[in-house]
Amino acid sequence: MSDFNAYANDEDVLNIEGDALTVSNGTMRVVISGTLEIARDKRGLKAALALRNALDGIVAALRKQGDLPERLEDEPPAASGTVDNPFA
Amino acid sequence: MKKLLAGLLFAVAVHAIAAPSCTQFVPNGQFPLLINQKMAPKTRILCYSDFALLHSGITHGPLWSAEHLTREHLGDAKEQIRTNKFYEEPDLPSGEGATLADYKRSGFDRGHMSPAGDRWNEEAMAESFTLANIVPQDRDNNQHLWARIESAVRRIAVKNGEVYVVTGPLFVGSRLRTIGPTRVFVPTQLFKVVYVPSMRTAFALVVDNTATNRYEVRTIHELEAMSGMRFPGIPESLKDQRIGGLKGV
Repeated sequence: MSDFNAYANDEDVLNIEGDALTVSNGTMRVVISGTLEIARDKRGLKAALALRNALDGIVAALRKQGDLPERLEDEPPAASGTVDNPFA
Repeated sequence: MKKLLAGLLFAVAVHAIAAPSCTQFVPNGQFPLLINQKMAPKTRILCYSDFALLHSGITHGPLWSAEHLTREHLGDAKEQIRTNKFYEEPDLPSGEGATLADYKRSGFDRGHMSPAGDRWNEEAMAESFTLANIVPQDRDNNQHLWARIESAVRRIAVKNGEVYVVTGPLFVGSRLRTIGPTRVFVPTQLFKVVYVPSMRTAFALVVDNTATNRYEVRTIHELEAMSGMRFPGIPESLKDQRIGGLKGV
């Protein structure tokens, strides 16, 4: 079900309750976005556990890295281009 | 082995397109049509387990992505907890599809057209992460305004039983931005076409692909004129309706 491996790749997304809350993996940054309503029911518990597992994984990965910088610099953006609109 | 099997399944799915077997995701079994013939080269319909899309080898992404939302399926969609993976579409000829590298450090989100949150089973949710269903979308837009619009459309489906939705990019202006080595086109706007059969209502929404909180309501006829597409599955008599706005957006 949840094999989210924090900072392992740039492709994984953990979806909780559809896409109410998403945890998007990245080798440099993990992004958590959305709004998750955790109801006082079994589905709420399942969602809360999934979120905790993901956060535990993030904390463990960060703790494991000995040379953690104070603040990670922004990576330089990749070059983008422009093109004549072929549909116009 | 698993990978090979997935590949085989895809091959079968794409084959099924020739005989239009995924028209259940569009109203009256009619896919959107391209009126602007400049958009037609290198387009292919791809069928997935609960959505279908038209991919362009020119823009390197979808031109439209269609889905049929029902109350029952959205109930199941809400239960989904799983790890998905963005992937390059294996069924496109090489050079036509976007690559993972195109989006790396592009500054844009990988924006779903048919959203992951509408998918009602694991296979469909995994499939929604194909880059064939993705466009470069402004990050703030994707995470805020667009997420609220997607939720609002889901609420309409839950309230009324079913809706047909088509989502896609617009490319307006003489010059367009591209990202990555494949030169994936960055849309200038995004649209959603929503048809609620039980309400006899149809409307379109248009949003700039920027960090905006504003959306525009359009009639279906207006969107057809803007997009160079036609939506033949929606009754003509509904195409000039204009709704006030969306609740909760």
